[in-house]
Amino acid sequence: MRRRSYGVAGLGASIAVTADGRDEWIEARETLHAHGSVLVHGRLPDWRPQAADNETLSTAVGGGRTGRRQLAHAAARERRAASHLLLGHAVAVALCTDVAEIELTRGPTGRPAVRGCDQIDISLSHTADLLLVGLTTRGLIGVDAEPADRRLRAAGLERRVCTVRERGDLDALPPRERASGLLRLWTLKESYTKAIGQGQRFPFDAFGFGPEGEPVRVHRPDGTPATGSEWSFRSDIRYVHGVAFRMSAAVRDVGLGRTTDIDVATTLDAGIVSTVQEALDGWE
Amino acid sequence: MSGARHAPARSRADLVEALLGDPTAPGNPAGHPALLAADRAGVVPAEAEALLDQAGMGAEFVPRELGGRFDSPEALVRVLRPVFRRDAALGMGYGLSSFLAASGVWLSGSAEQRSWLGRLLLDGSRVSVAHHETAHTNDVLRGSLSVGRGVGDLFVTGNKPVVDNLRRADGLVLFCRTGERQDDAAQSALLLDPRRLPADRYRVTAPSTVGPSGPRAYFHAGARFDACPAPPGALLGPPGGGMATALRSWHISRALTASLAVPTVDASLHATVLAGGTHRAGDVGTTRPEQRYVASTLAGAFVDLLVYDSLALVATRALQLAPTEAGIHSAAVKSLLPRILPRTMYDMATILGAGFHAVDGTAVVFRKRLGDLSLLSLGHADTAACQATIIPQLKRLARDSWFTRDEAPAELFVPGARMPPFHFGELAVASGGESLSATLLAVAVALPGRGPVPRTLRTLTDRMIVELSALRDGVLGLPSSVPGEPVGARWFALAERYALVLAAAAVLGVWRQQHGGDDAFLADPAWPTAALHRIGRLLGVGDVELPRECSSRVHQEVLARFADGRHYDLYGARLTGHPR
Repeated sequence: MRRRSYGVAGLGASIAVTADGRDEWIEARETLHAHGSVLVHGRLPDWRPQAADNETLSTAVGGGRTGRRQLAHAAARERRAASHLLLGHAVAVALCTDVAEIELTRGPTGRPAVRGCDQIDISLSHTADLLLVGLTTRGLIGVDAEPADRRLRAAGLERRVCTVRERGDLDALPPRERASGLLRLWTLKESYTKAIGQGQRFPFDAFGFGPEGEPVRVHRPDGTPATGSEWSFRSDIRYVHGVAFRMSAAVRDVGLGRTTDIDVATTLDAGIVSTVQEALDGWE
Repeated sequence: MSGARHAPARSRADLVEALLGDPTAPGNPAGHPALLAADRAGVVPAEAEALLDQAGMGAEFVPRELGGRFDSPEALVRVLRPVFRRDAALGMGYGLSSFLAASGVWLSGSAEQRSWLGRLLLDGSRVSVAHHETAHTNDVLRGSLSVGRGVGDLFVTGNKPVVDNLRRADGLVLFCRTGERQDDAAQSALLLDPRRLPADRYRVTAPSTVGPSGPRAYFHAGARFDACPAPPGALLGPPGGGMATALRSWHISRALTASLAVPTVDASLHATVLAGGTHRAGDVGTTRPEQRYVASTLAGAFVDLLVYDSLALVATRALQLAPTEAGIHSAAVKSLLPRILPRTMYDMATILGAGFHAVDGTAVVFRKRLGDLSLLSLGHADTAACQATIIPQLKRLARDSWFTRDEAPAELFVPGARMPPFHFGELAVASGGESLSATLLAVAVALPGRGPVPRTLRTLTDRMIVELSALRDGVLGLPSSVPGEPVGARWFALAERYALVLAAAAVLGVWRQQHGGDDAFLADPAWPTAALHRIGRLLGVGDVELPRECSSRVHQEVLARFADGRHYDLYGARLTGHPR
């Protein structure tokens, strides 16, 4: 097994997983238990849902109107289904339960959650053929991934998503590193705002991050640090089947210390349950 | 507040509000600068506490028959809301935690124990409590104690790393596993005078570093017992009865904590409205949120507060009006805290934008309140304890209560309305019955259906009834759990859905009782419609569109209450020092 390095809040590099893998899921579970957070990623072909979802796919593209829009729509739906499958699998492993028992839900802002199980917070990102999932028992998590060669600069986003300070930092980079630098900032901002359940509703130019090489912290627009040890971040480039991806993650520790046991089966306190049961028997 | 003994809760609350003064006024010992300075230094805000001492706040925690002013959980909520509005850590550390510790004594103590503790609290003492460690514990709740019998004495052993207020506590309530059985249900409760415990057997342990930053001054100590002798008279209630006492006291603590989380968010909404109307110098060059976005976000936050406050009100009043059912409501509202209120805070943060991370007092207070919500919620460990109260009752509820019971009494839903006297003794551990969900059905029958808002309210109410029906099928369809055997994840999903349905029932009940009342806004169907829409989204109901006038009516009230300097809770009282 590779040795991974973990930051203060234990955000190690993402672990590659498949649906029929075993060792990597054991590693993922152990990582979550030891460090309170874990990132896992899979490839779309490995997590494409079987028969049942192929039907939905064929319905979407069927009817003889296989226009580009329908195809794109079907592809997006397939990616969502695969993400859902991976997310469900990851949650089931983390909570030591059967995937069929789990209800994944989305909050009003689209943030995913496990219905009834707040021992874990989850986040999901999908791009191209990559699915990235973050899990934490510390509080809040947000993850984001993009193909490492994606050019946001060309799309003119920089002015809208960066603080003046960040733009200065980017300009100070050698020209060929600027696109990568911007992508790093973008995915960190996505991770942070996804962790707080807001996504791009939180204005991206209202906060920033320092340049690569410094400890990652949220900065105010003037470049002064705005978050302390309660937040931890990670951003790196990983190769997945020969393709480079920028993967970023943000975790907020809510400060209640560690809950090491998060299994569904052990959630209900035996003492409470038997006392409630005794009381109910008294009302029969 | 001398002479306030028999004053109604509202005037006592107004007195506390006035006493604590304008939180933004420079030099105010209970103002934000002083409270933040204490927080940064990790110390108790002594001057603010002294103000509360002078007002004889301790009497609020002591039942009337023992010489205090406590006569109703709802009244205590009203008196403490002004404190929590300024600082939840102060509210919890100064007062609520002492009351919650004492509630075990008010529930199960002998006349002598009650009168001893009553005198302590009337004199301004603190009382601490160490509960047993429940499943899925965290660092704040970790650690267990056990008690065994020796010759003539009881002996306590164990380590509890975090006990609120322990260093200055004059009374100590312990929940201990009884030595004879290795069964977590076999607990005995004790009431001790920590000042009289032998130094070689009882130790206050080193400051702990756990806990969100706000309350750390109150978390500064733990307790270690090493076969520490305690007199047999220290037993609180019968031997082995500790778990029942703890569970009944948790009904109270969950309802009160939920109710007292409301002012934290309420005060943040005020700060956000203020910030939404101005743009800060530090924001130069950043995107301004669109006015329409600001309006809908403020309205959404206010609706969240009203949803949460409705269920919190019902849970608090149920302690008095439906004491055999109250455990369900209080566990439901408390389990929803981490699901609803932190998101409300972050929704508001999007309006603050760069202001959310700013260095000025308002932003620091806003961020501190986010941490304080963690303190109040206690995270998953407490949700799990709430679920352990609800889940074993679901089968019985589905069979005997849902769609069969009569609706809950009307007074349950009226903020501040008179109630019969509160009796601790009437609180039941669990009864497997509940009438709040029946209110959903009763309101649905009488709903007017004309106009887009009432029509939508009707549709959403019907959806909630469909949800309750699906819940019943879901619960009855699951195999009965075998005592001692774990339950599957589906039970937890059902418990969360049920809590959300109860929130919808509480909203409808509160709204209906406002008909013909003085508050035109609370009587308007706009807010319950927006509230059920929001609850519906949490339940996955995504196909009902909210008429635009709902959001605009709620937003109008957000601005009106701001202009009038009124709270954003169901009481809507006036606050001190608000810029007019």
